[in-house]
Amino acid sequence: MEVIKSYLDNIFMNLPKNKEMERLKNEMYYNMEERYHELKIEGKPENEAIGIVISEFGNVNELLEEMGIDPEENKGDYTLIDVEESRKFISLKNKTSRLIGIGVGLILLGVSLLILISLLVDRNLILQTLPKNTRETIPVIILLLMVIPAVVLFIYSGTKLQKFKFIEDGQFDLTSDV
Amino acid sequence: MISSDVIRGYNDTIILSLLIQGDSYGYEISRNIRTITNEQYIIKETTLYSAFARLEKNGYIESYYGEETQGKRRTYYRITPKGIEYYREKCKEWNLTKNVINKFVKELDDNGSY
Repeated sequence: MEVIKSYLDNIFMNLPKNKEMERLKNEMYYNMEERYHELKIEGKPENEAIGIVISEFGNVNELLEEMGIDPEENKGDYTLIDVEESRKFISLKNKTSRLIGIGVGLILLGVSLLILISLLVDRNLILQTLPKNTRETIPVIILLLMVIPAVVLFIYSGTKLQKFKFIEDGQFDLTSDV
Repeated sequence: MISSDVIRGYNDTIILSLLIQGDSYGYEISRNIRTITNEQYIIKETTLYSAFARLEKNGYIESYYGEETQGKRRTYYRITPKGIEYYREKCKEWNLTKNVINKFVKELDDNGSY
């Protein structure tokens, strides 16, 4: 089934991305999937079944013409990215995911500490010697100490990724040279 | 297998004739065409959907989302009164075409003459 999926992905890659096209693509995928299963039931080997399904797809330009879409029109809108740039994006994405993970961890840790320390303070188990106000403020300060670096990490990741926003939005084409 | 060039003008008629029997979706229509013709005509996926697009644009059919079955939500098509009218015209046209072409299409004998 992966073959059929990537076949369709390839065909739809350069076409406008909207609800109508998404619906059409899904519909065609269902049809091809069903046809494939039917051929398998008839006893066709997998490769032959996939071959038949793809040969029965037809020519996409016929369809685009009817839908009033110029197949060449959308190509120019997208930025081309090459292998090096996609590697850069992937490693940056890995790095920022880690940073965001750390940020979330810090916030969770801060909240846990806030609850823990407040409890200990309430039960007079720690900081007994300090005045009441200070004792109540310390847990909040610890929370802030955790939240501030987390926010910094979020903002940093966001700005780094901003440059590659078009990739996240799917508005790109891959160059064919590898 | 029939060539798609020859049948081009009649894909719409074939689809409408199936929709007259009841609402249907893409795969069911293409399967019906295949079985009714004993696999002599297999409509291509893109031919089918360009016919749907054309028929819908002309107001001959309407589409709607069906109930979800097995995680799939299919687009169903329904013929409109205008579509039925168009189908009637196409049937008349076909009968005429058939008569005309039949005047020229004859079996040749072994010597290549009538």
